Parts: sequence; structure tokens; C-alpha cells
Amino acid sequence: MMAGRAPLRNNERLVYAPMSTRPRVTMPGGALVAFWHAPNVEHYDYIAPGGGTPQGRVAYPDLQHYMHRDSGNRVGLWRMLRAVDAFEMPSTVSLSLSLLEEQPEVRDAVLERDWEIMSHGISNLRPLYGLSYDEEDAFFALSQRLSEAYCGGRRIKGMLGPKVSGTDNTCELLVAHGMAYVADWIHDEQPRPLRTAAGGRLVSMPYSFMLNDVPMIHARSLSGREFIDLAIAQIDRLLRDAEEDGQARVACFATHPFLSGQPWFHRYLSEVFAYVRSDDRIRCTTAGEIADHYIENHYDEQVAFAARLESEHLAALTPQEVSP
Amino acid sequence: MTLIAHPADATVFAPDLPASYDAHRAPWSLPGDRRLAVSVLLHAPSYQDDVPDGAVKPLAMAGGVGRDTSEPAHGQVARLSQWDFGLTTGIWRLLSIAERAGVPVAVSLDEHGARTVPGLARGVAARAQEIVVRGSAANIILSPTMGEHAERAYIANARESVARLTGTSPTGWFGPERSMTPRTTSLLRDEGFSWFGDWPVDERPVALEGASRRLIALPHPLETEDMFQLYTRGLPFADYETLLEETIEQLVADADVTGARHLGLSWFGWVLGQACFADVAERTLRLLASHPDILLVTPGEAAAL
Repeated sequence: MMAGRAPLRNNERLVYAPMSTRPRVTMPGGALVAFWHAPNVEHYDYIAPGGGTPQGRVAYPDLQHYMHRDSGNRVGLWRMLRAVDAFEMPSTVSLSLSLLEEQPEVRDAVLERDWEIMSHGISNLRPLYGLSYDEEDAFFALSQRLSEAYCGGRRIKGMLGPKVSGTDNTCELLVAHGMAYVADWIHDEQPRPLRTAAGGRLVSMPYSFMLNDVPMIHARSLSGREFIDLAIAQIDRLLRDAEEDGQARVACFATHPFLSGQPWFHRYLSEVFAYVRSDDRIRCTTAGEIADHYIENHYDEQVAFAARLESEHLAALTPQEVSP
Repeated sequence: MTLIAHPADATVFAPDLPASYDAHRAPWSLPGDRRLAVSVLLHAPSYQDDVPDGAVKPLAMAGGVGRDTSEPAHGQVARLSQWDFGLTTGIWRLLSIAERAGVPVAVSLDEHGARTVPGLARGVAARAQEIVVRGSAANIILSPTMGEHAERAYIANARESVARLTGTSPTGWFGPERSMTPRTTSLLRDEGFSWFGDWPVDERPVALEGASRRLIALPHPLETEDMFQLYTRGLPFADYETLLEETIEQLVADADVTGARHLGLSWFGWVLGQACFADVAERTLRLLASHPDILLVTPGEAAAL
């Protein structure tokens, strides 16, 4: 197994083709918009290795934010589940995998609903930055072992890096450990291929930092009304554009129980779920189903199209521009 | 009489910017007695996770997870991919919106985007009414730590790549992160540019003086820039739309007092091109196109008025 050296840099992993000219992409069930709900059910260490804290506010332990976040799992999640269950909302849980082993109530809630488990690392205070190849390889092996041990042999299909972290080896290791998608890259409204050195297929799954309660409510102080207006504006525009250009699109709605599970937000969470459930052009689905459909129907065609685009482009460059 | 002895290492006013203030200079006027000229500049910058040795990066940038943070740790692709959204999707959505509204637009491209993103330069050139040069990359900026030779090469290389790969002869410049040095304007003039858009200064084109003579500063206000309002200030998008409408209304009204005004809209593909924000662009451009007092021009045309 290769070690140490990053085979591709991050910019090189992008497989470029403009939305306006690429071959048409469909979504599962022929939907115009595939909507996936991504609850980030996270654990933050009381004292994290290396001393990280949730907010960088005070030295560890930061009890204000430890408790704020833990309240998400102790209280908020269960309120969120009432909305999820009421609207039978399929969910792709971005899970701190330590919860599988250490919080059986959370694990059972996930398994009872047959949520798809997307790795979100072991703890959200243990980012992948700076890991050696072997350390990160061991992290992925542990992730799959946790899933197999606690989820009836199921293996994990994708990852959102803890704190959206990674290394130059992450894409290679995702594929090596049998994963099909990664949600860290938010560069498109459709799944996209990500280039890997060994040629394995890896799908960039459109996640969102806009339809996401942490960046919008926690960091930008939007009200519940403003946040849901933003979400509905996004979904409406995606539907209109998909009807116009025939390119089906993905809308991800990312929540965190410590925010979206708060009492004041419950009505807004219910409102957005009701909105997407009321429109039969929208398919409420999981990241895994979207990735499977994309790999089965579109991945190779998109890679081939982008390769032709790149070939034409390279022919127009000077030798100096190709290798500056 | 001079009472203040400024420290020797202080430069009190921007070089080559004439000291001429509203109500103390001849009014600007527009063809057909229009009150407000509006130009729209769409940015399609490329973000580089790795930058060449010696390149200068901004200390802080918008985008990524949540706040306007400093450079993310290597291995986080949040900002890279968010800015790349502008190239895969956002710029094309904004171009479609402008075409439907009948509004001419300029698009700024940088050297890395033109050189490394297949088909971007060609595709944009086929649809934009003007191409503007946006330096080397979104996060490779001009800095006073650069020597004159390095700065001149930065400008010349960016212009050469963007010009050749778009098949155009750009006359306008907009620096990444609006970065500049005290000598940039004179170098832009030397390299053949006739206008630049970085300075959020007067509400009309400004002819520079001294070493930068014959270069026009075409103002693009921060207050109406999508990245600044929606990310740096965190304004809700509905309030941003209201701010744009109120700005346009006031500038039109002010023309009776001040003479004609110019508004340079500076919008990013990765910001206003997002689905959740795009209706703001759509409604604003339609408002502009239907307004009898507004002259719609490209930035290069505005600078030449």
C-alpha cells in the first residue's frame, strides 16, 4: 500500500465541466430535485486529544459549549425525531462514530429508522488534519469496524470529514475502504466525479453550508424564519432551473440537534419537511441512493465528457502554460 | 501653514487619486440625460488550495464553513470547493439570468482559472460582453512585499493568459481581494489597462493623476457587493435585495443634485449564483432593465463615458 506521498493535490481532483454544457444528469425515481436530510449527530470530547474546543472560546473544558452540544444528543435529537417521524423523512446521519459504541440510545434510534450512516469521524474534536497515511488508514479501518460491529455488519458508504477536515490522502483512502462518496466538496448542485490516483470511482455528494443550521444560525445569526426562507428559495430555484435545462439537481438540508432540535426551531424544521413532502417533483432520499444512481447511470459519461473538454483545452495552451 | 508633522513612513492620501469632492466639481452627465449608469461585473475567480512558492495569500477570506475565517488548515476543501461552485454552476446561472433580462455583463477571470479550468475562458468569452482580468487566482494577491519586477510580471502574465485564452483584449482589471500596492495603478496603465474596478470610492468614474494618468478608477461599492453583504456582514438575502433597490432609487434621485451617477455591481458566481440567492440577481437585473432613467453599459463602456 502506498504511503506518505499525496498522489494528487486537491485542485487536481476536480473534474470540471460547466453545468450548462455537461451531459444531462437524472436523479433517483426521475425526480427533478433529490432532497437529502443530513442530521449531524456529533460528539464533542469533554477534553479532546490536543486540547481542541468547540468554539475556541476558553481553554478546555469549555462547559458552556460542551453542554450546548451534548444537549443536542440528550434532548434535541429526540425532538428532531418527532419531526422526522411525522414526515417519514429519510435521513443520512452524519455521525460521530463514537456514539455507536458509547451512546446505545442514539445508535438504536438510528438503526430503528434505518437511517443511512455517513461517517463524521470518531469525534468532532478529532479532525483528520495532519494524519499520516498510516494513521488515516487506521482511522478508516476503525470506522468500518465500528459500523460492522454495531450495525449488523453494514459498512459505511460515505463520509463528511469531522469538522470538514481531511488530508491529501483522504480521497484515496475513502475508495480503499470501500466508500463511494464524500460530502466535503460543495462545488456543484449535482454529484460529480472526484479524480483518484488509482482510478477508483468516488462521488462528490453535494452537501450544503447554506441550508445548514450551523453556518446560518450559529455563525451568521439568521432567525428561523430567515433560514427557512433561504431553504425554500433554494429549493424553488433548483426546481425551476431543473425544469428549464433538464438538469436534475440535489438539495441537501443539514441539521444539528443542538440547533435544529431546539424548541424554538421545531416549527421551522417541520415547515421545511412539509414543503418538500408536498411537491411530487422532489424525492426525499439518502446520499447513498443518489450516489448509487449517479455511479450506475452517469459517472463514466461525465468523466468522458470532462476528459474531452480537458483535451481540447490542453491543445490551446502553450508549453509554458501547461507546465509553468 | 502646516501644523501636523506626519511621520516619515506615513502616506496620508492614496497616490494619484484627485482630491475632488461632490458639490465641488463639475457634474458628470450621461447620453440621453440618463441619471444612472449601471455596469455589472460578474466574478469567476479560481481558488488554489496550493499556491506557488513566494505567492502572497490573503490573511482572511470569505467562504468555507461559517465565518469569515483565516486560511483553513490544509486538507479542508470547504473554501476551495465553495469558490469552485462559481465556476461549475454559479457563473453560468448568472449569465443566463443576465441574458434573459437583456443586461450586458462583464466577467472577470484570473490566470489560474483561464489556464487550468478546461473550457472556462472560452465558454465565458462566448457569452460575456466584456472580459476583465482578475489577477493570478482568488487567493494569490498583490502585496507591497512584492518587488516592482514581480508585480509587473504578475499583472502582465495574468493579462496575457486571460487575453489569449478568451481571444479578447481586456482593458479592465479587478484585483483578487481588491489587493493593490501603491504602484499598482501606474503598472496597470503601463500594461495597457484603461480602467480598474477595485476602489469602492466615488459614485462616478475617476480619472487618476500623476504616475497613473490616463487610468480610470471605476468604482464598485462594497455596500452593493454580494460577497461583502451576504458573507462578511451576514445580511439576510431579502435585506440585501432591499438594499440594492434602495441604492438604485437613491442614486437616481441624487442625479438632480449631483449630476449623473454610476453604480458598478460586483457579484460573484459562487455567491449570488447560488440557487438560494439567484432570484435576487434576477429581480434586480429586471428592475434595472426596465428603468427609464438607467443606462446599462459594461464597465469598460462606463469608464469611457
